[in-house]
Formats: sequence, C-alpha cells, structure tokens
Amino acid sequence: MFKLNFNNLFKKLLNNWLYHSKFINGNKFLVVLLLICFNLFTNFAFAVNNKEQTNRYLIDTLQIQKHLKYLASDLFEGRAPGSLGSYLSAKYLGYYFDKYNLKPIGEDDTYYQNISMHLTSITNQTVILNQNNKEIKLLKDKDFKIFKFDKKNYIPQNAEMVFCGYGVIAPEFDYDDYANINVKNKIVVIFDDEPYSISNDYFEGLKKSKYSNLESKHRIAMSKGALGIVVIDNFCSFDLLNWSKINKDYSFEFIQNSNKVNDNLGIYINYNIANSIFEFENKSIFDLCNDHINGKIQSFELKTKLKVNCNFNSKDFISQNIIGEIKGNDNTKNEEFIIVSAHYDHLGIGKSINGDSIYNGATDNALGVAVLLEIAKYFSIHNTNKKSLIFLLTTGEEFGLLGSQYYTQYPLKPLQNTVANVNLDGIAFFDEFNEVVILGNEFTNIPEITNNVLEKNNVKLGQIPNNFQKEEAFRLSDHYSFAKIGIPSFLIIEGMSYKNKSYNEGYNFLENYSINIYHTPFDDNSININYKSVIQHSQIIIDFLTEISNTNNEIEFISGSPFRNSYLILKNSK
Amino acid sequence: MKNKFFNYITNIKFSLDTINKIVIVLLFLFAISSCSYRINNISSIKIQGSETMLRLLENLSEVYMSQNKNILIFVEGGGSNTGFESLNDGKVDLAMSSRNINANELIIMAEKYKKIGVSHLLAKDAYCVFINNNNPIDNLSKNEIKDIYTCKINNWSEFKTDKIFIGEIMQINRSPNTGTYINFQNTILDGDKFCENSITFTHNKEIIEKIKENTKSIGYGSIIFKNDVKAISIDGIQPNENNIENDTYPLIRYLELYSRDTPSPEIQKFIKWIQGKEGQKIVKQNNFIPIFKFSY
Repeated sequence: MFKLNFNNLFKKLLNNWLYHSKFINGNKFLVVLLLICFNLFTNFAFAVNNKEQTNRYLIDTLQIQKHLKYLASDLFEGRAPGSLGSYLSAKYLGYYFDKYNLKPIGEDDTYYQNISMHLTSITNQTVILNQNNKEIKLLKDKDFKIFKFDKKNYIPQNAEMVFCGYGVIAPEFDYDDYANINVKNKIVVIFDDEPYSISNDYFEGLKKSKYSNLESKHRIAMSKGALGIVVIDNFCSFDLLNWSKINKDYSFEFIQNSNKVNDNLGIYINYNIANSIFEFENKSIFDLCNDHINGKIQSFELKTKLKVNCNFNSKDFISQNIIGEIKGNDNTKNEEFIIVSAHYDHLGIGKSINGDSIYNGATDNALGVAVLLEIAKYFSIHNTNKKSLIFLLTTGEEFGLLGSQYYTQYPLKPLQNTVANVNLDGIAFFDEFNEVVILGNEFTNIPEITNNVLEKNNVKLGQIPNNFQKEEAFRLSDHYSFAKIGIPSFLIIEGMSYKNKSYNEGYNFLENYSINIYHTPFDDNSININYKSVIQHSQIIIDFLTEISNTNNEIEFISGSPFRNSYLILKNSK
Repeated sequence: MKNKFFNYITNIKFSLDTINKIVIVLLFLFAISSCSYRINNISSIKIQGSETMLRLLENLSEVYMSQNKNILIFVEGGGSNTGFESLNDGKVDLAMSSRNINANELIIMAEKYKKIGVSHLLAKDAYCVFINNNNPIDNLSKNEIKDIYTCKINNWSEFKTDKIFIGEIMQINRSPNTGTYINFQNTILDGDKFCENSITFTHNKEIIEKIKENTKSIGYGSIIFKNDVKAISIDGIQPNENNIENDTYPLIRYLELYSRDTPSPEIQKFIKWIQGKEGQKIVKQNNFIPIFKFSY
C-alpha cells in the first residue's frame, strides 16, 4: 500500500519538478534514472525486529526505519535547502503529515511555510598577506578558511589590518578591545578566545563565556565600521582537531534567509601561519600568547595588509518549513501551543571523501525527523494532549538555524500563546541508556515534570559534560531560536551511562562519531542504528510532551537564566 | 508637528488614487489625534532611498494598500545614501538600497540604536550602459568602458566600426549619492575615480533623455529603459533576462530594503508579501528580475 501510494506521489512530484526546473530540461535520462533508482529503492527489503523490546506506546519501529532509509538515501541528496533533495523531502514529509491527520497550518492551507533564501558559493579563492610589498599567499583549507561571505561583501584589496585582541567589549568587566583603536574601513584581526582568567568572577574563568561567541565578535567589529574580520584559530594551543573541525564546518555554500542581519567578510587563519601577520611587529604571536596568559593583550595597528581574490556564484530560492497541528483535547487549554521541532535539512552535496560526496545526515537529523513523524502519529491517534501540539520540521538549521529563526519572525500561531518548544535533534542510536540530559531544564521551573518523566522511564538525570558551557551548548540547534525570544525550550539527549556498554565504550563511540561520522558523507544508511534506544528515546519524549501539555503550571524561564528577560517581554506582550 | 507631517506627505510622489486615499485617511487621523502614526489599528510604513527602486516600491505599495485598508505606505526617493541617512535619523522605517550599507552608516546605526541592521532581499536588477540609437557600436569591453569614464578614451573614433562614427564622447554619470554610481565605480572602474568631464544627473529618466538627444553620449542606468535607447553588450554578453538570472551579465545588483532591527509585524507582513507570489509578479511587471519562484 505504502509503496503504491508513494510511487504515484513521487512520479507526480517529478512531473511537477520537470515542469518547474530548468535543470531537468534536456535531462530526461536523469529523470528516468531517478525513477528506476526509486523503484529499486522502494523494493528494498527493510529488516527489523521490534518484537523483543518494551514498546509502551507501540511506536512503529518499522516505519521509523522506512522514513530514515528514504530521507537519508542518496536520492534526497543530503537535503540541503534549495536542492531537489530538499524539495522532495518536504513533499515526502507533507505527505506523512497528511496521512497522520495533522491539520495544515502553513500558507494557503498547506503544510508549508515558504522561506526565501539566498545562497553564495565562492570559487578560486586566494588570500594574500602583503608585507612591505612582499606577498605571502596563503593556502586554502590549510592556512585559511572563509567562514562568512556574501555577494555584497567588500572584498579587500590590500586593506589595512588592525589587531584587536579578542574583539570583545564587556562593560561589566570594564573591558574593551576597541577602546583605543580606530578600525573604520579596516580589517580587524582577533583571537578566537576571550580574556584569560582562572577566577569564575571574570569571564567565567576557564569556561567559555558568551563573549567567545564568534557571531557577537563579528557584529561588534561591523558596528565599529570594520570591513571584515580575520580570526586566528586555536590561539595559544596546538589542537589540530580544531582546525579540521573548522575546515569541515565551513566547507559548504553560504545560505542565509533573504531577510538577514548585515554581514561582512570573515576569514579563519590557522594558528600555524598566523605568525606571518605579526612578522613586522614588535610582538610575535608567541609574545601575544604570553600577554594573553598575563592579561596584557592590547590592540595595535598592523603593518601587514590583506588582499582577497575570489569568484562567486549566487542563487535565490524558496525553502520550506513543514508545519501541522494536533489540537489539544481540552477546550480551555488548546489555544496554548507547544512546538515540537526537528530539522529535516542537512548539508547536501559537498567535498568528496573516499569517493562519496553526499552528506546524507542519517543521524543528523533524518532519524530525529522519523521519530517526530511517529510521535505525531501517536498523538494524532491517542490525542492525550490538553494543549495543542505544533509539529514543525525546519529547514536551514545546519546553515544557522534559518528555518526556526524565520518561524519566530513569521509565526503561524501566536508566540505569546506558545508555551514551550521541544526540539528533536540527535536521537540515541548507540545503546539503551540509563541517563538523559535535558538541555533547558536548568533554565526552567519544571523539576516536577522532569522527575515524573525520569521515574516513568527508569532513567536518571545526567549532566552536560564540563567542557561545554551551559549557554554555549544550548545554542547548537533550533531550540535556541525559540529560547532567544522567550519560549521555554528543551532538547532531550541521552547521557553517557549506557545499559549494555561501558563508559569507555560509550566515550570511544562518541569520539569516533564526532570526528569520523558527524558532518561527513559517512553519516548515511550504513550506520548501525540500535532501534531499542530509538524507541526508548521516543517514549521519553512522548512522556515529556504529555507532561508539559497537561500541566496546569506555567513553564517559565527562571530568574538568573539568560532568557528570563525575553520570557518576561513575551509574557507581558500578551 | 502637524505641519511637518503634512509637508512630509505632500512632498511624496503618489499616484492620484493613492493620494486620494491617503488624504481621506489623513483627514481622519488629524481629526482624532496629533501626529501619531498608529491610531485605531492604522499603521504607517515610511520608506526612502534608491531612485531605481522608487517606482517599484510605489507600485507594490499601491497594490498592498488596496488590499490592506489599515496600512499607509509612504515612499520617497532621493538615492540610497539619503535612504540610509533617513533610516539612521529615525525618519523612516525602511531604506531602499541597491548597495550594501557602508562602514560610516553602520557606525552611526550602531552608536544610535545598538543595531547593525537587517536587510531584506526583494529583487534582482541589472543596469545597462546606454548609447544613442544612431551610434553603430553594439559591444564594448569592460576595460573600454572604464577608459571612457576615466577619460583615457575621449573620442568615438578610437573604436572600429563598420560605419564611420566620430566625435567627442559625452560621459553621463549618475549622481554620486546613488547606489548605481557606487556599484558602477566598483564593478567597471575597479574603484578608480571618474574623470571630471562627465555630466551628472540624479534620475534615470534625465539620463535617458540626454542620450536620446545627444548622439555622442554614453550613460548607464536601469535596464527598464533598454528599449528607449541602445543598451550595449559588455564583453559580448547581452543584458537579457537569462544572462541576468544566472549572473553572467556583469552589471547586476540586488535590490533590498534595510531596517534598523527586525521590523514590526506590520512591516514584516508587507516584506513577506513582496517576497511572495503576488509581490514577485509585480517585480516582474516592473521589469526587474523576480528572484523567488514558487512551486507548491
């Protein structure tokens, strides 16, 4: 039944695409090939054994596996916004929202919220340091990485540079890297760090405070009239992994919402080459490292100039959030809304590794989307929620939380009546677990709800690992967009204590995943998914949603949380 | 204050229908209040800036106001520089611009409002290099155009054509406070200065009229005038829709609205409408390039 229906849908979609896409004209061969691939794919046998596990809510494991296999297949091209794969994914997901009887609350009574986006890709990029007319050409990926670019950016041609410490202005610590220096129409060079301290009272000691946030540093530089920023990575350390992470994170095209905060050029420079910038200065990078430890970093003008050459292409397109509602069963509460979100996009097609260039994003976040669909089906059938549940599948999360940000600007249900967000990103697939981490829990007043959920599922509350600062960890997925505007938001992930694996096995697994799988083409359907842990995780989310949708208490960002003010503003605007 | 408001209104260019509508609503407003711009659910949106975008925004506003009776949209030209100036002075809600905000404008915005602005992409535009219809030239290289505007080439006789065409070149320039001027300077002149020989006009229409009148002239301006005078190819690339859409033609720019911060819900709704199906259709009707296509 499924196969027949979806085949028809797919053919219809392809015809639709054939009609709309210029690319397909003259590529009939490709269409035929896609159809053949698809038919082969639908005939693929899905094997799963779901009889053995405890499945309190009878979640359809087979269906989760099917969703995952489709969304993470090469046919869906890694689901980057603006791609055919993204378009097909959106249609697939809309089809299931309809099948599971969600009410369409998107534009024109559809499940879709159209978002206009702008893409820029750079080719032939070179960065040159000019020192007394001697040019040092930096090597792409090895020495530099452009991390922010837009077609309308100023492209420096021997622009003057200014070293501005960490690029931080922190009035509460009486600290200002821009206090005695003019950066107007110049390029600002900064360290990817913040003032050193071992005292928690000053820049939160050894933890990274909000002042390390690169986005804030970029905006501060712009507000001072800088034409762009150069960030020296990995300052005072030799962590090679950090550079490979930067290389990985910024290897894709730049996508922004068409209503975007102003941006200008941003370039990362590898610490290994950074000393070249200071070659003609009184201080080498090693002296500056000493100054950092001794709290003596000062800004100064640089003799080295910066030149960037590049070609770029741009594209404008519509990408879609997918949205549907399950009305609450209590007439006194169903005008309050809980957003259940998961991003369906991933990175698309990128740099080929071992001959594979499709970044399928099976665990990030096709699995989260598959789970969301089946959770939606559960609530659609049982309707145990008093408040209304808004199921929101977002686009553009990987490119800067674009879809969720857009929703907060153009909400389809009043934000004042939106009482919480539960975000699904990173469903457990390694092993069943004894601990959960609820990001957002520490910022809100839900101890009773948390206890009920933990008790029901026989798990304990774990902690965020120490090397993550709480607010920083909270910024990494769509729930941050909702928290920023004052909606209490949560992300539930598994803790580091597993049922059948030792701590060391868990640690090694996570380390291998984050280095070799996460954001690579190998996060695909070849990954071994433990469906018992998927079901366990799904049940915890269902219990959590049931609790927060049925509680009579208002969920709040508590005093002292970084989102308290936004919460009060939202609440008072009712 | 009322007089100031009235002066502001009367200085703006509107179609007659729009003026009638606005006058009626304003009389009502003055009758019940002083110069608050949001009374009894009537909201106003004030827009100023790019001359290139003026006609487009007027047309968009007219359609939008006819569908949304509680919105007044005031649109004024003056160039991108003026738009950013007014935005920073708090006189308008949105600046129309065909260029990015510059460092000076950003500093003022950051100091006054603690914001660095939000830009809203609306459409793509191409501008052309125009010559008189009697000029036999059809194509110039980017460097040849640069040489003309930096006065290294001063006579049409320096170009080989089938038909003899000689005479001193009259360079026509846009006003320096327009986005087109800055874009042309950056794209064609690589940031070099224009020579002082050129004559300057603020409006596209004035440039077109001058080119029609003077056979030896050369100017540049919006593609919407390409049927009035001769729009030449640059490096062999014609300014047609296909070349503009795929960014092959060099004189392309994005038309945007700028706000100081995330705009109010009323303004967001208006922008979303422009970016939507109906707004983009009007963009096309105004001879600009719609950039968003809808397919559900």
